[in-house]
Amino acid sequence: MIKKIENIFIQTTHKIAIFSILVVTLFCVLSGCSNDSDEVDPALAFLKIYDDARFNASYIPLDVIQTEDEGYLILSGTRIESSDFVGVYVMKADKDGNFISDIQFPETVVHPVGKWMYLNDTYYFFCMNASSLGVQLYGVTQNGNVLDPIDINTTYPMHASLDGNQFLLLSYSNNSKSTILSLLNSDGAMQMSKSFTIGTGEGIEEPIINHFTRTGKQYPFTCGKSGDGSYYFNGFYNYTFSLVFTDFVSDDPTGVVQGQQEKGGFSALYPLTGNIFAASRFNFGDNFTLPKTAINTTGISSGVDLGGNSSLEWIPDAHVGIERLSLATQDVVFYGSTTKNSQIMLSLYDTNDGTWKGTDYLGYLSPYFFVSMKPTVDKGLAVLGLTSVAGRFNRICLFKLSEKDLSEMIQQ
Amino acid sequence: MKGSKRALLIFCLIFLSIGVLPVEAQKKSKKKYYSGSQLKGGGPKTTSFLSQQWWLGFIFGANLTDPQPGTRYSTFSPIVESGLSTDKTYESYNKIGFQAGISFTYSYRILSVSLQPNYRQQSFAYSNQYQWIDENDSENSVILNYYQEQNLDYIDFPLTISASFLSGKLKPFIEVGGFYSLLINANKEVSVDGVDRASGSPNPFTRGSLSIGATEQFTNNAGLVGGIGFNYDPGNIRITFDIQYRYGLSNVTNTENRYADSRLAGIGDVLDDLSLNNIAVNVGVLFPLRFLSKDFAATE
Repeated sequence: MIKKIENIFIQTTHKIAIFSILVVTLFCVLSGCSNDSDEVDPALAFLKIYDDARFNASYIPLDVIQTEDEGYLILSGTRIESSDFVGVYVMKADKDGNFISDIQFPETVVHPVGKWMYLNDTYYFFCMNASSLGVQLYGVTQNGNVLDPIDINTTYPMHASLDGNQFLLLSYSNNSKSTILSLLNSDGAMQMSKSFTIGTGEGIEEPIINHFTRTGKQYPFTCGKSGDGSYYFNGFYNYTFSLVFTDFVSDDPTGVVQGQQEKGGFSALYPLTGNIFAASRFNFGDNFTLPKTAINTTGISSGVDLGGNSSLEWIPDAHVGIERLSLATQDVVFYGSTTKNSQIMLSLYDTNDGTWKGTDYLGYLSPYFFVSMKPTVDKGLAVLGLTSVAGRFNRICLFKLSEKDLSEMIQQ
Repeated sequence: MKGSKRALLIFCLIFLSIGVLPVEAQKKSKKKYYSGSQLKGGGPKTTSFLSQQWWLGFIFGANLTDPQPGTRYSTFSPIVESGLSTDKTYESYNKIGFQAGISFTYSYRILSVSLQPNYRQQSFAYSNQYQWIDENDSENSVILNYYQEQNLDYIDFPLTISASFLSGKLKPFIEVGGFYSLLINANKEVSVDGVDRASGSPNPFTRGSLSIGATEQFTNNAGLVGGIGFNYDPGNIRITFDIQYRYGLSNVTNTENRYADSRLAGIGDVLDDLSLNNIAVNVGVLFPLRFLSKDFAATE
């Protein structure tokens, strides 16, 4: 009888031991399954604040571009002692957004101008010689080397963009009191240039100089080429902050969309097709979005007549960025700006009909300010911002949003 | 997963030991095992019946969590470092959570298999400190402290096998098994304060606190469990007490949503990869399901 009980006991305990192993294996498998999310690539989405432990350091981020290695190159200004203008600072981050290296340019080089322009495996930006105030073109190679600067025969750079393999440069001449739009080849040689007077009289250039020394309003100077082939710049012309079109042939603009002296005008422009733009306006502190608007590229018209959707959340005369992205389900334009409670606000609109599709906010508690944004190779969006850490220290920040994040912004 | 494999091996060996060692010990001692019914004079036909039992009851208790960081993440990426690490400092076993649920237990002689689905709350906390110093005057500095507390609510499914080696009313046991926990809710409470020494004298300040739902920041949990305890059978109920150690095998951070909440990311909080180890104390009251006739007591 006892032998029988022992046999039952042995059989039972062995079965239970095997069962136990199965149970443990089951939980190990379950735990393995629950770790599936480990596969998520940290490069898909992140926020990085590039902190500097130095008390007096201060950064003024200007633009970001994704590099060939899927990292990021950030162009920024920094306060320097020897000049009224800001110094030049370039920072490299890896694809996960982690700081890799930086370059603090000598104080003889000042006033960097966004945006980054990628041409012939080199990332270019314009800046200014602190003594001569002449424009200089700097290039940064893939491995982070800075090329020798190319001097450009103009002063006070305001903005630049690429037109194919040529640079389109907007600058200011305080000798002739004129806004100058120039087309340069890839070596920096001047191809075409036209000057447009800002007007005459005392104090007419004051807002421009205050813009350069960052002691006054920062104007949304920009330049580019519309879908119908017209070159344009957003800047001062004939006493007014205006959108000016030129064919580089006529001395007079082919078209002007006037603002309201220095109190109103376009705050951002993104050419879609023909004379259709995604745009935004500022007018005596108010902001308006025009996700799909036809702009008269010939003749004289008024920006106020274009109307637009009121953007009540944005800070007065907000700095705005516009980018176009093709998401999985929709072709959209993104608007980036800063809200009155100091968050970065992203709004997206259907490119086809200009209807609002969604909004998201970035940042909390500490103030965050929108600077610029760029699509990334993984169909995400890199958003460059400025944050004030501890409410005290101005630091560069970079948000990376995944394609999924962006798609989820769309309101069904 | 290297640690997980090692743990698996250890637990397998323990299970095998449970299966084999008592048998070997029994062979050596030639000790007789009788069911309670036999001791009460029941006939041989009842032996098989009385050697097994189903139990149903309630369990409750408290737990302490030890977060174990894996890959570290931070929103701060220093250009110029202050000397302070951006890594979080975790507090171990200092936030009390609790659990309560029901217990289904099947006992066969000295061995029991128990499933104890329960509601379980686990809490843990970590902190960060950042510092900025004036290069020209090191007395001028600002210190910023972040303190984050997490409360995770799970529906927990532990499955354990226990073995008790003594007869009588008080039966010590050891148990091993695994658990799978479904996350149902998570909250974070973040507070930020600091000291500004640049304004003439140390000036403590508060940047505010934030209590926020963070369910999307976390995910389910799974791991292994081992413990010791005792059953006390005073009559037609069983009172059980045990202390369990839980070894987390999975990452409880939802890596896909690590930066998804702009409020948390915006204040500089981002979760590391984390596994949670845990110590839990449980008390339970179990009721037998098969011996409820006037002829038999609840004990074996």
